[in-house]
Parts: sequence; C-alpha cells; structure tokens
Amino acid sequence: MTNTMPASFEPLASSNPVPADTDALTSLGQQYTATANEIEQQANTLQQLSNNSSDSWKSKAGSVFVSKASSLATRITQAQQRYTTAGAALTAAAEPMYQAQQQAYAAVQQAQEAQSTMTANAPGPAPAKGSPPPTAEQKAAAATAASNYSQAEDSLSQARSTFNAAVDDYHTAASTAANAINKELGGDPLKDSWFQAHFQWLMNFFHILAIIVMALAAVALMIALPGVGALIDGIGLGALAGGFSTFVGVFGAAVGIGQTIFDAKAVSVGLGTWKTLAFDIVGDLTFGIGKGAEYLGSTIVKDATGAAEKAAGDAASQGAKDAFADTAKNDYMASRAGHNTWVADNPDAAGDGAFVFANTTYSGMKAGAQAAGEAAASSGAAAAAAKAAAAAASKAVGMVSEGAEGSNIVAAWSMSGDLAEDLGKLNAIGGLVPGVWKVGAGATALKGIAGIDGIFQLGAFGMAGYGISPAAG
Amino acid sequence: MADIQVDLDMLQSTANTLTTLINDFSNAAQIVKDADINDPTIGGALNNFTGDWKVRVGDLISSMQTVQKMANTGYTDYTSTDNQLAQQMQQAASGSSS
Repeated sequence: MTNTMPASFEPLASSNPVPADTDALTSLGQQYTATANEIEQQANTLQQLSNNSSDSWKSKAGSVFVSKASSLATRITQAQQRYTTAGAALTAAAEPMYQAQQQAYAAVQQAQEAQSTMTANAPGPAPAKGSPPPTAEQKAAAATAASNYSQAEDSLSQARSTFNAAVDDYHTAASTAANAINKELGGDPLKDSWFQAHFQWLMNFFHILAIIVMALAAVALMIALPGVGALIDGIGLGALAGGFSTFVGVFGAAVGIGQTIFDAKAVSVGLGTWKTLAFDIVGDLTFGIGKGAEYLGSTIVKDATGAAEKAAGDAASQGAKDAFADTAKNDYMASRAGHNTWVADNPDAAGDGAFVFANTTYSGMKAGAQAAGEAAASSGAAAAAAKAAAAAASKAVGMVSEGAEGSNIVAAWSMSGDLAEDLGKLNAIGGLVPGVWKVGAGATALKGIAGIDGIFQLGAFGMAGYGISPAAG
Repeated sequence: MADIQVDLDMLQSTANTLTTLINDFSNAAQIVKDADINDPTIGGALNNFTGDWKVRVGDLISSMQTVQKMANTGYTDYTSTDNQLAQQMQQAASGSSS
C-alpha cells in the first residue's frame, strides 16, 4: 500500500521534513549511470581509434586524429568516475528514502487521527456546584471517553516515535548519498583549483582596485598642476598633498604588482593571456602608464582563454623549460651584477635613491623606490624622458606579447631581446629618473611570480626583460 | 602512397556519442535543476557535483568538441568523397559502354 503525502505534517512537524522526490532521484541516478557508461564506451573507442596498431583509421588524417583522441580518452575517463559514483549514490539512496517517507506519512496520518480522537474525547469542564450528580449513563460515557482519550494519547506517542525514526532514516540515507558524492569530488582531478574557482571575483576585485588607482592618480595629477600646486601651498596643505601623491604612487605600485601576480597565475591555468601579463609588467615599470592604457583602452582580460590555451598547449618540453629557467637565472644574476657595477661606477647618474640588487629585501627595495621616486618628482625634464622611454618599452612589450600569443615560450624568450633593449634605456636614464625603482618594482613582482607554482617560464620571460645591463641604453 | 583504411561506423559513432556527452557536461547544472530532487542535503552535493569543475570541464568540453568535429568531418568527407567517386566511375562506365 502506498501512503500519499499528507497536506499537513501537524501535529508531528510544522513542515515536511522528508521532502525529496525519490522518483526524480532514481531517474537522475540512472541518467548519471548511463552517462558514466557512455563515457567508458567513448574512452574505449577513442583508445581504439588512437591506437597506432589499430586498423580503425589508417591514413594521414588518422594520424592527426590520434594525437587528440588519445589525450581525450584519458581525460574523459577521469570524468567517468564522478558520474559512476553520483549515479550509484543517488540510486542507492532513493529506495530507503522512499520507505522512510512512507513510514513518516503513515505516522502523520496516525497522529492526526489520534489528535482528532483526543479532541473528541477530551474531558469536559467540571460540573457546576449544585448540579445534579451524573447519571449512570453519563458515568459510562465519561469512562469510555477517558479510555478513548488515553488510547489516542498512546497512539499519538507511538506515531511520534515512528515518525522520528523515519525522519532519521531518511536523513541518514540522504547524507550517505551526499557524502559519497562529496568524497568522490574531493579527490577528483577535474575539480577546479582554488584560484580557478575564485577567478571571477578576484578579477572583478582587481578591476575595481584599478579604477580606484586611476581615480586617485587623476586627483594627484590635478594637485600637481602648477596653478593648483601653488594654491595648495598657499593654504598650507603642500605637505598633505605631497603625502597624498606618495600614497597614490605606493598604492598604485602595490596594486600593479598584485595584478601582475594574479595575471601570471591566470596565464598558468589557462585563464589569462600573455598580452595582459605583458601590459602588467609595463604598468609596474611605468608607474601605471601601461596599466592605465590597458584599462582605459580595452577589456583584454575578457578575451583571455583561447590564446593562453594555445600558448600552454604549445609550451616547450619540461627539459626545455628547465633550460630556460637556468638561462634566465644566469642572465638575471649576470645582469644584476652588471647593474650593481653600473650604479657603483655612476653614483651621480644613478642618484641618491639608487640601490643595488645584492642582498636586497622587499623593504630595501621599497625604501630605494621611495627615495628615487622623490628625487624623480623634483625633475620634470627627467620625468618626461622616463615617459618617452616607457612608451618605447610599452611598444616593445606589445610586440613581444603579440608574438607570444598562439606561439610558444621559445618565441617569447627570443623576442624578449627587444624588450630588454628598451627596458635598458629606461634603466639608463639619468639619475633623477626612478629607473632603479622601476627595475626594483619589477623584480619584486617577478619574485612573486617565480614563487607561483608551475609558471617559472613566465619568470624566465620576465627576467630576460628585467635582467639587463643599464649600459644597454 | 600509404594505404587508407577507415572504420566509418566507428567514426560516426564517436562523433554522435561525443555530441551526447558534450550536451551532458554542458547542461549538467540544468539537468539537476530540471530533475527537481527537492532535498537540501542531496541538492547541496549535486550543486558541488555540477559547480566544482566549471573551468576544467570547460576545457574538457573544448577538447571534446575538437575531436567530435574531427570525427564528424572525417566521416562526412570520406563518405562524400566515396559517393562522388562512385558517381564519376558510374558516368565513366556509362560513357564507355555507349
């Protein structure tokens, strides 16, 4: 016998505690199982087609197909397990959940009947004083009512126990299924990483930060206008304005570096482009000029995935990557030494804020950067020169990034020589230009990049750009 | 020239099955929604099931679409070429006999 769901679960519960559609559960479980079987069958077929010794497709076109089919067979097999587990879990849960529902429905019906009986047989009010004693018939009726009431009470209590046990059984079955699915997902290689799962809001976060930086920079620029500056000085707020400009510079650099690390990670997992990363690096180098150009001019991040996939797909072999990493490291170390020598030999040109790379720490870089930035701020002519060189560097990075997209790390590496030359000009600009600061900021960013799992090739790419002798300019 | 040997049935079957799987993967969330299980515990697990691999399943679907297109193109082009060749040979045979 099938019990239908009661319209109300009173007096045992205020709402339905066993709500699942168990037919839908069974149906979905069967669908998942069917999908798992299809995946298995498809994986076998793809393996057969991609087996070189197979006669399934022997031709030049077949050879092209093999390379893709083999890899796909492995990857869809990973998806098979999650569907198999989910299908089995749902199917297994459906029957005990259904039985629990039936018991719960029956218990509710029993409880409602008992409640009605209790209401109908509830003891009446005590007889008024002076009223005649009850007749024998009235006494018998009262005794029957009391008996009925008592039995109904027992029935209600029993129904409540049955109901609670059924609800427990229902939730145990549901939890068992849910736990089985979640456990399978926990070890699933197809599960997104934390970064992939949170990519969208992180990207939005950095976009908002970039807009804030742009707004602050606009205010700082207005403050720096000759007339406005004089006015601010006139009312005694010059120091405050200077502090604000410094804050904007540091904040903008920090945001730029954060964005660079974020975009580097995005490239490594196929969610970003080389072009975006290259703009970031230019942005770091030019106090936001490159960053501003990007955010004002385009939504490059949005068209990210395709080119990054190609770049990742065409990436060099592990051995080649290792070789690049070694080369990059050696070049970086050599250029660092060259840079330090240059700073030592040209103390006047390097300016008071210049620092050497050896034993640098983040705080050291920051202090040098601030000092160099303050020195640069006192020279409009040098700032103009820096801007011109930055534009050249930006152009070079654009060329490099265009070359890197859809190509591979080898292309990025070889083309980065152009970038290196222009960055060399940046670094060699006269002492009041914060060229050292720029390199320092970039190096800081690259330290972060280099620490990110799996993307050391980006460090190699970037180091080729940064690790250059100042004399190159 | 190398021999050409193609199991056209297998190619067609591969393309069709991949199409089905692409639909299953692409519409995983909608399938759960349509099923309307109406249980919060299992519903939460199914949300994880459909939502915890959005990026990687996107990559997987892209790869499946590539292979599906290759299999489908292989099947239709081989079939079409064979039909055209048969037609031309039929015409040639008719011409020589008349």
